[in-house]
Amino acid sequence: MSLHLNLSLQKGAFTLHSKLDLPVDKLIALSGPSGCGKSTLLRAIAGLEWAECNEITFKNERWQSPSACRPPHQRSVAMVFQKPALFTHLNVKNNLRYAWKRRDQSHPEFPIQEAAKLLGISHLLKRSTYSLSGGEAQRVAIARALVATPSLLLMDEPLSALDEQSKQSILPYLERIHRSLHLSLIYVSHSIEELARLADYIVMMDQGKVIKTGEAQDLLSDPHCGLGRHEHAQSIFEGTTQAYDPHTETCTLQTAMGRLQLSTAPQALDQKVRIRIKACDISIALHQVEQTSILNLLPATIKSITPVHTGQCLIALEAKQTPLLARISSLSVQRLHLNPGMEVIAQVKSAALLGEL
Amino acid sequence: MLLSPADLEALGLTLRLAAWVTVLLLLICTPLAWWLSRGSGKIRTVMVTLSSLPMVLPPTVLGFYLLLLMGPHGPVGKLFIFLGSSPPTFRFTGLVIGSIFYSFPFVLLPLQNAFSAIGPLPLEAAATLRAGPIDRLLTIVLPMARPGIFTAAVMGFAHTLGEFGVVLMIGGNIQGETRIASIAIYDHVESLNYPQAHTLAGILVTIAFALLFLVNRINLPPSREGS
Repeated sequence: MSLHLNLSLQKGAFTLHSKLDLPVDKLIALSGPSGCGKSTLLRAIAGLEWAECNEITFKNERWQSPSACRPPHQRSVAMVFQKPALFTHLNVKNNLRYAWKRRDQSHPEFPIQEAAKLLGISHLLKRSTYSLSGGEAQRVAIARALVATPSLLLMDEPLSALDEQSKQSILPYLERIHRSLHLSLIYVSHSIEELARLADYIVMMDQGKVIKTGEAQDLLSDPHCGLGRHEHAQSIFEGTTQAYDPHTETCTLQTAMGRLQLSTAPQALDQKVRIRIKACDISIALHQVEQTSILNLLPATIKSITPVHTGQCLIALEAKQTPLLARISSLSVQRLHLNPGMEVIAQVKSAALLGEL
Repeated sequence: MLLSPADLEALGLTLRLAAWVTVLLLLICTPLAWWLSRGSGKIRTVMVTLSSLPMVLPPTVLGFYLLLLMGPHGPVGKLFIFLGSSPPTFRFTGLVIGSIFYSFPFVLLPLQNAFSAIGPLPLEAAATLRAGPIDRLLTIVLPMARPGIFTAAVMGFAHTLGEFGVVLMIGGNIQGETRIASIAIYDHVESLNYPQAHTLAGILVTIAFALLFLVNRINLPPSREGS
């Protein structure tokens, strides 16, 4: 199950070259600085950008070859743009109905009411598109794309034009879409938080070229790539909600690294969740400390130490095959005589474990 | 009844002329405006400039060239003769052709603005929702441009009602054929027949007011209430 791309696009002074095989059973994120060609790549997949001799094959279906090109409306894609791109002459419900009428009938139907419920817009259905806030409009646009039941859903920085509050209100919906619907999704973003929350597989681009691809878990905690070096770098791992103690309001999570304590109430037990830890929220101790407020003490091995220019070092750790990234001061590295190969304790406050349980 | 049969005829002729011109202009200008709104470049700028000329030129200049063009020795006139007809000058046909030029920018520009205002985004969104080109034209472009199309039609109609100079140059003042309301008013004033001039003028003012009022009403910014 893959999306094969061999693209070469010229847009003014900008050239995009990429040859990729993407595992579309995972949520793929395209990341990179502004103007690196991620949007252009996405538009080429949709068929909105076109150049001769490009090749696009989606799950053995040839969308473009040097001899033939399917126009966008003959590809089973739906696209969510940076701006909502709603049809202003139709109300919210009719915007969804527009997509529903033209849906890809080779997939099970996704009823309008259900999409509206998933995105929290049921109460807006009768409203005019003019009356929506930015966040509401973008949620309508996402629901509209879902109702179209595409084989491939493309999202081009759908949150970038929104304020922080709207972003935070939409992100949980996106996580839910990815978890509950089995559709291929390619998501463009340069936000570390969005990547950490959503991506399974990351394609990093720069100046029109693909510079790195790999599992999100590996790339996000790789101190040698831009994502790991980012000041808000985060490591991700999976866990299962196991128990919840209402007295202490603490949730126990089973992970590959062992049991972790989280101070969040889970929606359900036995639920697979993704947990994030910011690199600056992991500290390192040489031995198990007895009296500490930190609940999660994870034995780990130092894989590498990479100095970054701010008097800090990135410590790549591995705790039972789970890569973790810690950012600590260079002074601590010296004082503790940290070296690659050393066995240490990674300390994580339960409040620093982030995730939608 | 203050309207004489001749005035009534002039008024009917005016409305008939405006209706013909509006329909023909919508047919000509819609594809042209669509093309103009889809890009930029020298050819497009030249096109827009040419079609805006009637807004600034004296109608007599326009009428003069049209007279040369459509007269028995002009290329259009010759074409009409070749096709077994007489030259269109001093006939209703000539008036229609002249008015098409005269009202051209008033139809083209609102259409062009309406199409430009849609922008590429809704069309791209529709395309990725599996709407083909014809589907997009019928379900996105035309409905979204509807206020602009309406404005263009009304402006074309209203502006043709007010035509005077061009008609006088190419159509003269032939009752039942080329004497439209504006010319009839001029005749009445010339012969100091003020009451009849008043009636006709009043009717034109009323029609123009009603049309422009309608346009302004339609083009109010959309309310933030539900649809």
